[in-house]
Amino acid sequence: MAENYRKIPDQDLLAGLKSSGRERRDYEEILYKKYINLIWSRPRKYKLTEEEARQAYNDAIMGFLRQIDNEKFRGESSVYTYLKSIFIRKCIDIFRSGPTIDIYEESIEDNLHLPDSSVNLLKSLVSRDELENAMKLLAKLGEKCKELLLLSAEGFKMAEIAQMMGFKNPDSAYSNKHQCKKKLKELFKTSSSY
Amino acid sequence: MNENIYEIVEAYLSNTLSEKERNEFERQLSEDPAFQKEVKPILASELALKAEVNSQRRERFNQWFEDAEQEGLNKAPAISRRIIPFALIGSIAAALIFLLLSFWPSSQMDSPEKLYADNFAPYYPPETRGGQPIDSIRKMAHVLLLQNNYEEGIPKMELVIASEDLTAEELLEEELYLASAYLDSKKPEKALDLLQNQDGNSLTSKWYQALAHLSLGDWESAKPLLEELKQKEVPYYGERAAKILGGQ
Repeated sequence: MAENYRKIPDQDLLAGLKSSGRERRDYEEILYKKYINLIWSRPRKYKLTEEEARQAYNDAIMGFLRQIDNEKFRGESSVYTYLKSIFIRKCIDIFRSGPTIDIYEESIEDNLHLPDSSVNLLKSLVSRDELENAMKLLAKLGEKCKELLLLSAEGFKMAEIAQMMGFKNPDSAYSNKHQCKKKLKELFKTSSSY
Repeated sequence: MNENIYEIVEAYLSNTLSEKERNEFERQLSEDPAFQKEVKPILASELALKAEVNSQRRERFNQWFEDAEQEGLNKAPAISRRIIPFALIGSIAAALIFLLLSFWPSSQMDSPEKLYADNFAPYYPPETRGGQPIDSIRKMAHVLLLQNNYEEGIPKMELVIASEDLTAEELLEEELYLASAYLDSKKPEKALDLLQNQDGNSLTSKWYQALAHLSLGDWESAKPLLEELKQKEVPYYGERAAKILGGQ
C-alpha cells in the first residue's frame, strides 16, 4: 500500500480531491503521504526544526486543498511543483513569524471563491471574537448534533451521513441537520455576545 | 423568519446563488437590521463549523504523519541511527557499497528531468504588503506570479520587461521572475532563451539556466553551470548544485 501512494498520477489524485465525503478524505491522505518527504528536503537556509517543517507541510497541504476547493489550481504545473512552491512559502512564513495558526484568517480564506466584496462583507459581519465564541458554542451543542453538522460542513452527502450515523434515510439525516442548526442558532441568541 | 434561511446562507457561502440573488441577499444584510440580526449567528456558526473541520483535518494530518513513519514512507534519518546497532550499520553499509559498485552507473543515475523536478523552486517577486495598492502593471504582474497564475501573469510580466522604465538592475531581476514562471509553466526553451540573452549573467540566472537544461533532458549543458555554482560556493544554489553533481 505504502509504495502505491507514489504511483497515483496527478490526474487521478486531483479527481479524488474534487470528490466529497469518504472518497475525498482518502485522497487527502494519499496527497499527504505522497509528498511527505518535502519535510526532509526543506530549504536549509531557513533553519527550521523538524517540528516547524512539519507544520509548514501541514499548512501547505491545507493551502493546496483550499486552492482545489476554490478552483484556483489550474493544473499549469504538476501537483508536486505547485505543492513545493506553497511549502517553501510556508517555510518562509514560519522563519519570519514563527509557527502560528490563524483560525480566523483560515476560515475567511475558505470562502475566497466568493467575490471580494462578499468576503469583505463577511469579515465586517463576523469578527474574530464572534468566531471564537461560535466555536465555544459548538462544544455545547451535543456530540451527535456536532458530528452531523461537521460531516455536512466537510462535504459529506446526506446518504453517507445517514449510513455513518445510523439515520433511517437521507431525509431523516437532513431533517436532523436542520434541527441542529436551529439549536445552534438558539444557543447564539442566548449567548451574551449577541 | 424564512425557514429556508439556513439553505440560503449555505448557498450564499458556497457561491451557488445567482448574481441577482446574491446581490439581494447582501443588500438585505446591509440595510435591514432585523435581517442582519437573524443571519449573523448563522454566518458565524457556518464559519465556526469550517474552522472546526480544519482543526479536525489537522488532527488527521498528525495521525497520517505517524502512519507514514510506520509505513516507512518518510526518511527521518536520525531515528534509525539511534536504534540500529553499529555492527548492523557496518554490515548494511558494506552490502550497500557492494550493490552500488555492482550496478553503478547504469541503474542509479537520476534522469535530468527528475533532477529538475526535485530541485526547482520558483523565484518569486517580493510580496505586496496587505493594504498597499496595486497601482502599476508591474505590481499586478508580481501578485499574479506569486499566486502561480501564469496564464495572466506571464503576459503582464512580458509587458513590464518590454517597457523602458526599468533600471538595468531591475530588468535583470524582473527577467528572473519571468524565466522562473516560464519554467514552472513547462516552457523551458523560453526560459533559456531569456536567461542566455540577459545583459549580465548572475549566478542565480546560471542556476535557472541549469534547471532549464535539466528540464529539457540536457545533462551535458547543465553540468558546467552546476560545477561553476559548486566551485564558487554560491549560498543555497552551490549546495544544491553539489548535491546534484554528487548524485551523478
